[in-house]
This record gives sequence, structure tokens and C-alpha cells, in this order.
Amino acid sequence: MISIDNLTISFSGKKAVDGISLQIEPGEIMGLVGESGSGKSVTALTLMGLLASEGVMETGTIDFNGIRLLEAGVKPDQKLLRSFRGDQMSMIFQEPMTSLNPTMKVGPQIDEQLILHAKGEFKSSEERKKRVLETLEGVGLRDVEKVYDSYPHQLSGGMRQRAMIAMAVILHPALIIADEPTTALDVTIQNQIVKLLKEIRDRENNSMIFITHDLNLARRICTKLAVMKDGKIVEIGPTEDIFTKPQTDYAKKLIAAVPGRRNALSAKAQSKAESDKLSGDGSEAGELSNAGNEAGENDKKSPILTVKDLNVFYKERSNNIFGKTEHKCVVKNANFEIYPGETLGLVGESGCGKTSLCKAILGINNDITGSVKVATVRPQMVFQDPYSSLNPSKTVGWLLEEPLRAEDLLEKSIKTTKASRREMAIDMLRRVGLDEYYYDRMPHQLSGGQRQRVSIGQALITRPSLILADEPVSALDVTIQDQVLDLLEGLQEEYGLAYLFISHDINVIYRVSDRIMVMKKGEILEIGDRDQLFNDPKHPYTKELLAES
Amino acid sequence: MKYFVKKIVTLIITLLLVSILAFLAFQIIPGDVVHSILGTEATPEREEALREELGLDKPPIERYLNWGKNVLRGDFGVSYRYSKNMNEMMPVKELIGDKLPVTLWLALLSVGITVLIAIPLGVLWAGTKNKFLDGVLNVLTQTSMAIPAFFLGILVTYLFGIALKMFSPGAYVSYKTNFGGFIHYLIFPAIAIAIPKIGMTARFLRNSTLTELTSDYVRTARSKGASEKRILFKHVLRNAMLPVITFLGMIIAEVVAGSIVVEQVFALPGIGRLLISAISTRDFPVVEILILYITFVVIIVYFVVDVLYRVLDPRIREK
Amino acid sequence: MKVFNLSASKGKKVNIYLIIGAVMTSLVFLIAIIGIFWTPYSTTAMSARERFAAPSWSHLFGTDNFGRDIFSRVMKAVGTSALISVLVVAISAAVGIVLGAITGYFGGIVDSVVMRVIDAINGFPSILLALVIISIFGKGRQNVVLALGIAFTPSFVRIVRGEFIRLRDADYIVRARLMGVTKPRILFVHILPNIFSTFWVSVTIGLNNAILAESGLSYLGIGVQAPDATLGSMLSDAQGYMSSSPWYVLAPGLTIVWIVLGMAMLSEGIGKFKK
Repeated sequence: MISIDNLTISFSGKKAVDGISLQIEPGEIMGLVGESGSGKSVTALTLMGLLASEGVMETGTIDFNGIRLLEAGVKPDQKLLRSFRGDQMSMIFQEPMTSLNPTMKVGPQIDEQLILHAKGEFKSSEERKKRVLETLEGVGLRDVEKVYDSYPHQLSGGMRQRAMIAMAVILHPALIIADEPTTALDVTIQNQIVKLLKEIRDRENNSMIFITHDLNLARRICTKLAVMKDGKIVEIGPTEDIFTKPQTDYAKKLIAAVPGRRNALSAKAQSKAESDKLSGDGSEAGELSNAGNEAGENDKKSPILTVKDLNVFYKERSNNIFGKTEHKCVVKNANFEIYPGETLGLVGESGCGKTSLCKAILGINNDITGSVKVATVRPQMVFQDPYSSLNPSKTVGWLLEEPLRAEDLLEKSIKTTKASRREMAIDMLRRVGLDEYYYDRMPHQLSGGQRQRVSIGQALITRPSLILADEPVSALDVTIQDQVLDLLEGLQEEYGLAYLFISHDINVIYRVSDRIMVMKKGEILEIGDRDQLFNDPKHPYTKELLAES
Repeated sequence: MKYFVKKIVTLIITLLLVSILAFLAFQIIPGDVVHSILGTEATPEREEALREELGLDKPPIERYLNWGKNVLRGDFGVSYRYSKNMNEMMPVKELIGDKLPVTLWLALLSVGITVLIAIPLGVLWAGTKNKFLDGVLNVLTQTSMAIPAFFLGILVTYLFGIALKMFSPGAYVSYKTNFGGFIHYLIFPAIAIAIPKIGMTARFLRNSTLTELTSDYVRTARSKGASEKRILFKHVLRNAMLPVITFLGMIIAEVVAGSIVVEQVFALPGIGRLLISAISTRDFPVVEILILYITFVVIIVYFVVDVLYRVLDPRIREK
Repeated sequence: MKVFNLSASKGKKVNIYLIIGAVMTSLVFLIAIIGIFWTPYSTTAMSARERFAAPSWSHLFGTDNFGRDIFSRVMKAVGTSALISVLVVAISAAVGIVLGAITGYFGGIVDSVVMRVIDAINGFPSILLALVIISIFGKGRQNVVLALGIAFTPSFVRIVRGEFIRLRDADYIVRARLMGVTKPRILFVHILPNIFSTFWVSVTIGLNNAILAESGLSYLGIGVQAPDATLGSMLSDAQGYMSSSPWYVLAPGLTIVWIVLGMAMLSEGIGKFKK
């Protein structure tokens, strides 16, 4: 049994973990959930004895099966910790590519565990290799000899994470800590990894700590949950109890913010349901027919975006004069329309061609065949990463005004003045839920959610009627996600915007979309009304995608 | 294989371009070579004869092609300035062949000293938790980089030559007469060249090691229970050396191309000094060949660095 | 690991490198500027009686083999070296920004061609390249500036190009393109301000290299010509008197070390400040 008692960690006086206590029994999967900066990872790293040197353990003790590993005020016994790390407790990290040594083959990296902790048990390096190969098979890898001799970059993301897991379980540790182990992976791979971790627990009865920001995921794997906020555990209990009857306000808010079909209806769905009621056919069938109605209306309007027989190519640019440029087709034969005021959700895994499709629509990539017709000037885009989508050397005000200046320059007519631009920028700040105070701020002074609001404001200030949103909430915490989605929906209503909304997260897509388009390896597999697609997916891949979420 | 063919073609094209550029450059230099060789007193007939002898009466393109043909055959032409004896002019090949060993041995010694000291120093520095040692090394390396080569040369001469009497400054020993004495003399200029390079390389290695130490895979290794020493030597060093190799390559190229200033301070008859005197006396055949030599050295060194990089970094190997 | 970033914002630590570097460098500039208008003694006046005088209150750095006051000569020489270095870096940085921005942002054939040439130039040690250029254009102050300017341009092109390549596909630049911002405006209004922190570090490094290269050239006798005093030529004159009058060698030598060290500290300070 692992027991953490009254643990407090501070970084230069600021408390990152504030008096938490936790017990983890064998066979238990304890989920640590909460938003970024809530102290989940710091807790786990401290448990491993890997706290950064700037971190100070102010109070508390950590005991591992009756052995005191760490105690506040007592210099940690590094030798003892080292003998526990890897052997008794091991860790799986978020990013399998960077977490493995890039210049060392995968097999020897796993073998290192045996060399460090169990050298005496094996007579020769051949025996150790046998054990490594067995373990690799045990985590569901095939062709293990080849994997053993591969470098990390030669494996796929899923394979790398399996290799990381093999490294973590080879010595059958009593505790496995998984820190966002699936966040960097595609949905279908995510499901496989979660299944694998469960299998291992069933087989070996280890304790697990599963750190995640994704509550849907936590619900699927964890037996217990500890909800963290600002370094404290605000609520702890069996997973289903927390989901069905959260006690504290924060847990309630967090659960409510989780996008998903099982939870409260989204604002949009609600308003639709209400309007259905008003029109007198408020039944379950009403929602479906409502979607049908809207599609019927769309037939009459002309589409704002028409994509016909579109193929998008990607040139492998090589800087060498002798190098051939390769022509790869990344989007194949795409056909679809978007109508004013609707949201078309686009779902697919990384590398499926979502971003290439965007670039083709926006005219950034002209290497296409087929046609793209956009019935509005300069459609704009909102990106995933709120940190890289705002120019770090400009003020928020400048950023909001730049599209107006650019438009004036482009059309060679001066429509705006300095004062009018300022007025428009401040007006836009209010519309995206900020205020005049932010006009003179720099992007780095804003939080992720605020940046994403500015980013949306910048896209909207020239009033385009089509917005391409590429994973606009994926980098945000759940509660912020919820707010930004509300904002996008509100603005849609206000301006009659059309969205092409890209996400890998089925639940987010469900919440925002009128219609949904499923893409895989450059091909559009299925397009349909949201509810129709969710209730009756046609394509096997769509079924797989929906199965576990 | 394709890679090697590509590299060789690039090498040839670059050499060709550089030779044309160098040739053109000396066409626009003001002043007549024949004038400067014979002086103003010479008769027109004598000038004409010399011009014909040197092939200067022909148009530039023809001269370039002739020269190129000869170089390919291994005939580098004759120097305008140096003569073998009263009647014979000095072939460029012999002239350079004479000086080349000095520069090459000097380069070998100084690079050897640099690598032997800088790499352990950089690793030790990155690994130390001692704030005082860190500060001392920082100031020392920073200072070593701030001393200009000739001043360092003078200081080394004074310290080892005049104060410690470990060698006699200015008394260069030729490798032809006494090889041991030659190497003994070369050690001191090599030290003068190496000191700033040690500072640079050690700093560079330290920084890249510290960067690597914060990476995710190091955290993984720690989570496996590996000791800091094991992490440093088994995991980090190889990755940290990657950028250092490119850096060392630049240093080697620089030293092999001729340490002009240091050769001057220690009165070494090497390539660098030859180049200076050839440039100031407009000894065009010598300059042209020397520029080709330097280009060649630089390209070859970068090529070796490239190959080494591929060996050490599996990610690049496959591209 | 986001949590570890917390440690970086640990209080306001005094940036000791920036302070020491700034003090050392401003002292140099102060002396150089004073030296333009006034020196304690004439830099050319010789005095047979006062040859090889050791440092004293009347001659801070002593006198040389002609009895000239070394401190006055160093003052003048620092001004000359500083002026040349600043001009060299100004030329190469300006060319570097324009070429680096264009090649980095647009890529393609122009990029390939320019980079081939840059690679070829870069292969040559800069002092060698300067030598060759001076041998073509002749000696003298302007030609030293020109030669070193050409020799130093490649490294600036590389740095600026690298930064433009890094930023040209940044999300906020893609967005600027979508807004219809014109290309020159993207290059110089949207991207350029974001590379300044990197750029200033390379400017200080460039100034240092220029000082070292200029003094190297004048040591070899092909830089700035007599009767102008430069630190390099003073060292070259003094070399023979190392054991008898060490101050003669040490004064210009240590001055170079002082300048370069101060600037290096400054650039390290700026680098730390950036983070």
C-alpha cells in the first residue's frame, strides 16, 4: 500500500501541492484529475523522488509498503529511492517520442531496467534479451525482434508508448504511475492503450496512478478519482460516485463542463429543444426532424463553401538541387458544402488530411485539382495553440486592428481611421468577453483561454462569414473549453457565421456540430446530420471512433 | 552510395566555381605582374618575353583553360616570386609541398590538445553542482575566448620561451633536419591556437549537455533508477556531442586552412605565412592554388563531420 | 514539464553579467569618445628622453620605443577599432537582414543559390577572406571595413534566415497571410520584431569578432595604416620588447581582452534576459 500523508510542495514560496493525503491499495487505479497547474504531475514526480531541485517538500511523508521513502525536512536517501524507482514503482510519460532516448535502440533501453535492478537473476545478456522480448510481446507488440533493434523514431506513436509500457512493467512493479499516457495519441490508439493498462492491472494486481485532464477517459479506466484544484484534493471517492453525485461545487462544475452525450445537453441542443417545444413537437423525434428541417432550409440557401472533387497535394520540399520533389496526395476527392449559419464538424485522427484540407480551402496551398468556391471574402482561421497564434511582439489592440489595416491597404481605400479602428477593437474585445483593459496588454500577459478569445476576435473583426476552426479548444482546460465553445456558439448566432470545426474529440464535435464529416487517410468516409451519424454510423471506422467515447 | 556521389559532384562544382572566382578576382587587381617582377627599368623586349613565358599574352579564358588543364595533370605552374636557383623558377607544387607539413602538424597538435582537454572539461563542468567551480570555469573560458590569437602567441612565447625557457622563440627547427625538435617547437604555437578553442568547445559542450539533461528521456532514465553518472555517460553524452561535432569541424577547418596569425608570431614557415606573402607580392599562381587547397580542406572536413553525424544520429541516417 | 517552469520565475534575480558587461563596455566607449577630442599627450609626438618609461602617474601605461605616451595611443586606437567594428557589423547585419529575410521566407531557387554562395564564403576563415579581399582592393581603412563586412555577412544571413524559416509557418504568420497582409509588411512588421532578441546576441558576438579580426589584420600589417594607431599594430611593434618593457605589449593586448570580455558578458546578459 502506498500512502501519502499531508504532502506540501512549494516552488520558491508558491505552493504547487498543498497538504494532500492519498492511500492507494493494490489493484486500485487512482485517477488524479484536474486542470493544468493543479498539482497532479508534481505529486506524482514527488512520489517517484523526481521532484525538481527548485521544489521544496515542506510537510508530509510518503510511505511505500511500510518503508518511509520521503519525509519533509529529512534529506532523501537517493540510494534507497533509486532502488525503488523502476523496480518497485515505474512511470509512463505523456510523449513517447521524447521520453525515449533518440540515439539508443528500444531493446537496450528496456534492458537497462534489468541491468539496473535484476542483473543477478540473469546469467547472460541473451537471457535478458529473451525476457525483454517476452515483455514486448506481453504489451501487444508483434515482430518483437525487429522492435528490439529499432530506434524510437522508427516506431509509430502507439508502438513507442507500448515500448514505454513494457519498460515500466518488465520488473512487475507494485505501483505504476501513468502521466497523461494517451494524450499525445490518436483516439483509436488511445483506446488500445487504456485496454492494455487495464489488462496489466488485472494480470499483476499492481496499484496505478492515472493522471489525466480528460474526465471521460478517467471514467473509463479509474476505480477511484481524486479531483485536484490549486494543489488540493477537493474531492475523492469511487469514480462513478463522483460522476453521478459530485459533492463539491468545483467537481460539479468540472463534470458539467465535460463535453459529451451522457451529460447535460449543450446550450445549442437545449435552445433547439426549446424552440421545438415552442413549435409544438417537443419529443425525441423532434430533434431528428429538426435537423432534417434545417437541412431542408439549407437546400434553399446557397452554400457559403462548395468543395468539388478536390484533391490536395503536398510537395516534399527538398533543399538539395539534386533532390526530387515528391508529390503526395493528402486529400482525395473531397465533396461537400457548408451553408451559412451552420457548423460542419470534421473529425479524424492526426495526419488524416484535416489541416491540408483547411489550407486548400483558404488558398494557402494552391497545389490542388478540383474546385473550391468560397462565397465570402477572406475566410479566417482559429488555431489550436493559443500560444503560437498571436504575434508575441504586439499588443492585443494592435493585433485586433491589423486585419482592418490590412484590408484597407489591400483594397486601396481608407475606410477606417485610427480612432475608428480602436473603437472597433474595443468593441470586439467586449464581444469576446474581455474588456478595454486588455487593449494594451501583450499576449504573454494573458491566460490560454484569454488568448483564444483574442484569437477569435481577430478572426471576426473583418466580419467574414466563414470561420475554419482547427482544434480551437484542444489545448484548453475543460472549464475554459466550455466557455470558449459557448462564445463560439454565441457569436455564430449573432453574426450568422458558418464554421468548419475540426476536432479529434468526438464529444466536442457532438456538442457543436449540425452536420459531421468523418475523415481518414485523406478520404471523407461519411457525412451526415449529427444525430443520424451518432445513432446509426454507416462506416466501420466511424463505429470504431464512436465505440469508446 | 547515392549520397557519396552527390557529395563528390558538389565538391567538384564548388572547386570549379571557386577557381573561376579566384581567377577573375586577380584579373581586376590593378597593376601589371610583369612590371612588378622586373621593376620599372626593364626593356619592353624583356617584358614581352616574360609575358610570353608566363602565358600572359593570351586572353583570360584561354589562360584559365590552360591553367585548369595543367592543374588537372598535376602541374600547378610556377611562382612569380620564388625561384629555385638563378635560372629556374620555383614550381608551386614544391613550394606548397614544403610548407604543408608544418601547417598540418600544427593543426593536428592543436586540435588534439583541444579535444583532449575540452571534452572532459565540458562534461565535468556540466556535471558539477559546485557553484564556485562553475563560476571559475565560466570566467576562465570567457577570458580565453577574449584574447586575440597574436596576443596569446606573444604571452605563450614569453611564458614558455623567456620565463620558463622551455623553447627558444624564433628558432624554428625544420622537420627535415630534426623531427623531434620540430614537434617540440610546434607544441607551443599549438597551445596558443588551442586555448581559445578549448574555451569555446568546453562551453558549447557544457551548454548542450545541460540542455540534454532537461529532456524527457533523461527523466525516463531517472524514473528507471539510473544514477546521475550513468545518465550522463550512457544517455546524455552521445546526444550532447552531436552539435559539438559540427562545431569541432568548423574549428578543424579553420586550423587546417592555416593559422596565419600564429604562424606569424612564431615565425613558422607554414601555409598561412606563404599566403600572406603571396598575396602582398601578387604571386597569383601560388594564391590560386592555396585558395583551392583551403576550399578543398574545408569541404572535406565538413563532409567528414556529416558522415560522423550520420553514424551517431540514427534519425538523420535514414533521410 | 510545465511545473518546472515555475522555478524560472523565481524572484527578480540581479543579472550580474548584464551589469558587469555594461560597465566594462561603456567605459570603453567613454574612453573612445574622449579620445576623439582630447588625449593626455599627442599620439605622434616622440621624445628621445622618455623612451621605454614604465607606467607612472604622468604616463599611465608607460611609453613606447619612440617615447610616445601609450595611454594616449590606446585611447585613439580604441576609437578606431570601435568605429571599424561598428561599421562592419552595421553593414553585415543590414545585408544579413535583407538577404536572410528573403531567402528564409520565400525559399526556392533564390534561397538555394544564395545559400550556396554563403556556404562557400562561410567555409573560409573570416580573416583569410578579408585578406584576399584586401589584396584585391588594396589596403586602407575603408577597404578593411568592406572586407570584414563581406566576410561577416554570411553568419548574419544564416541566423536571420534560420529565424525566418522558424517563423514563416508560425500560426500567427499564417493568419496574417489570411488577413491579406502584404508580403513586405509580413516580413518586416510581423516577423522582424520577433527575431530581435536572437539578433542582438549575434550583433554583440559579431562586434567582438570584428574587433578581433580588425586587430589581427593590423597586426599582420594589412589593416589600418600608420601613422594611425590601432591596437593590433601597436602589439606588432611591441612584440620584440616583451621581456624588457612588458607594459608596451600588455597595454594594447589587455585592452583588447577588456573590450571583448565586456561585450561577451553583455551578450550573455542579454541572452539570460531574453529567457
